[in-house]
Amino acid sequence: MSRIRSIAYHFPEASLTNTQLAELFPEWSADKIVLKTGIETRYIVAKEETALDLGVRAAEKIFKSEPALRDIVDGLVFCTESPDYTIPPNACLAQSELGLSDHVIAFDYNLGCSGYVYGLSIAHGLIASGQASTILLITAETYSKLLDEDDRGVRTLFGDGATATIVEKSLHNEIGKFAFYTNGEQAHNLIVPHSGAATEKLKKQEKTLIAGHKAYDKLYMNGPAIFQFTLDIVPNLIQRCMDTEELSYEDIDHVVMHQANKFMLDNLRIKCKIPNEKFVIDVKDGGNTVSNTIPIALARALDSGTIKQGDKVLLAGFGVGLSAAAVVVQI
Amino acid sequence: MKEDFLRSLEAILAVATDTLNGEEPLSEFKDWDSMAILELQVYVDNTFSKGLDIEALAKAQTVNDVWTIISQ
Repeated sequence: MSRIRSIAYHFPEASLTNTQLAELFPEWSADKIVLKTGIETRYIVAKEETALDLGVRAAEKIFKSEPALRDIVDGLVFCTESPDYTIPPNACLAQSELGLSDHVIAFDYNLGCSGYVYGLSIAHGLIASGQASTILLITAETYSKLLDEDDRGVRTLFGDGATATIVEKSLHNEIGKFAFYTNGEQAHNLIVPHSGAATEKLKKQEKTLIAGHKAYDKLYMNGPAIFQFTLDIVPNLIQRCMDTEELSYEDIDHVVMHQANKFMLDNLRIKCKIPNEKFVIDVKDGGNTVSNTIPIALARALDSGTIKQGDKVLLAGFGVGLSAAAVVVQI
Repeated sequence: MKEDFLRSLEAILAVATDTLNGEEPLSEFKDWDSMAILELQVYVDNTFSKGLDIEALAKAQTVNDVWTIISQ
């Protein structure tokens, strides 16, 4: 049995505001960007700054508030799609930088906006199987390095950031049963085409798979296809998750979905029939930081008192893969 | 139904009410962009309880083309 003990987050120093974006893309005003996306500011890493740097900074915030945890952590799981290297994994580098035990189980996994919920599932499983008792789950992304500077659609949405969560063994099961959804047939709708070993193979397919995309080494996002995917599968995923736990929205205090953008969240809330007062939207400061958005929204809601200790919170992440996951946790 | 579609599209494209007749080329609307398509998806989902054919929409040239895709 396991629970979330603490969450911390970290943003890089430099920011990209709507005013700056409107200067770069004069056909959009700052007002229109915030009206449509709900995002005012995204944080962007410096050229030499990496996901490892951000993740370590987030984890150090946890160890600063609870120094004893550094020696207790026996598992380190690192979620990133923008690792410092193809080889080795960020988790091993983070183990060294953070001064964690050399007995720690440490590995990376590659997932996008469903990554945090998956991370909770992995941590929960490692604890349940007795392989670890205190997991440091890091999510860290530097998507800004993957964006085409001329692609207005993605630059208005995505920002960089990192989070650290301690998941620990507990007397009561405070992390519930998970629901998952995967559809690899639609993987090409959110992809960096020339980013791995399949580059040569993809060159034969890209005209049909990603028509209109100009920078094959940068992120391609078919926004309407991703939006349709969320409208089609997220309501069912959430219902499946609640059915497994025999819960309804009456039993749940808050819903924190992946903070893609305000437009998507507003429409998902309506389609899922989630009471407005239980629905957390936190995109204004930071934007879409991929696997980081759920823990950032959780941490801020805890800091502000919106979410209190003991609350039941439904989490749902969805995106790259295409992949989605949901779970109910008691904070 | 088509009248309702035209009025909804006017709101999405931020053009005056009762001005669209369907023959307009999409390229003449400055607000016909990715966000407009998302809003159209919501309209189709709410009104017809179905998804919008994104691949077909990419080939649409006029407002009437969009209506044909939605109403099929």
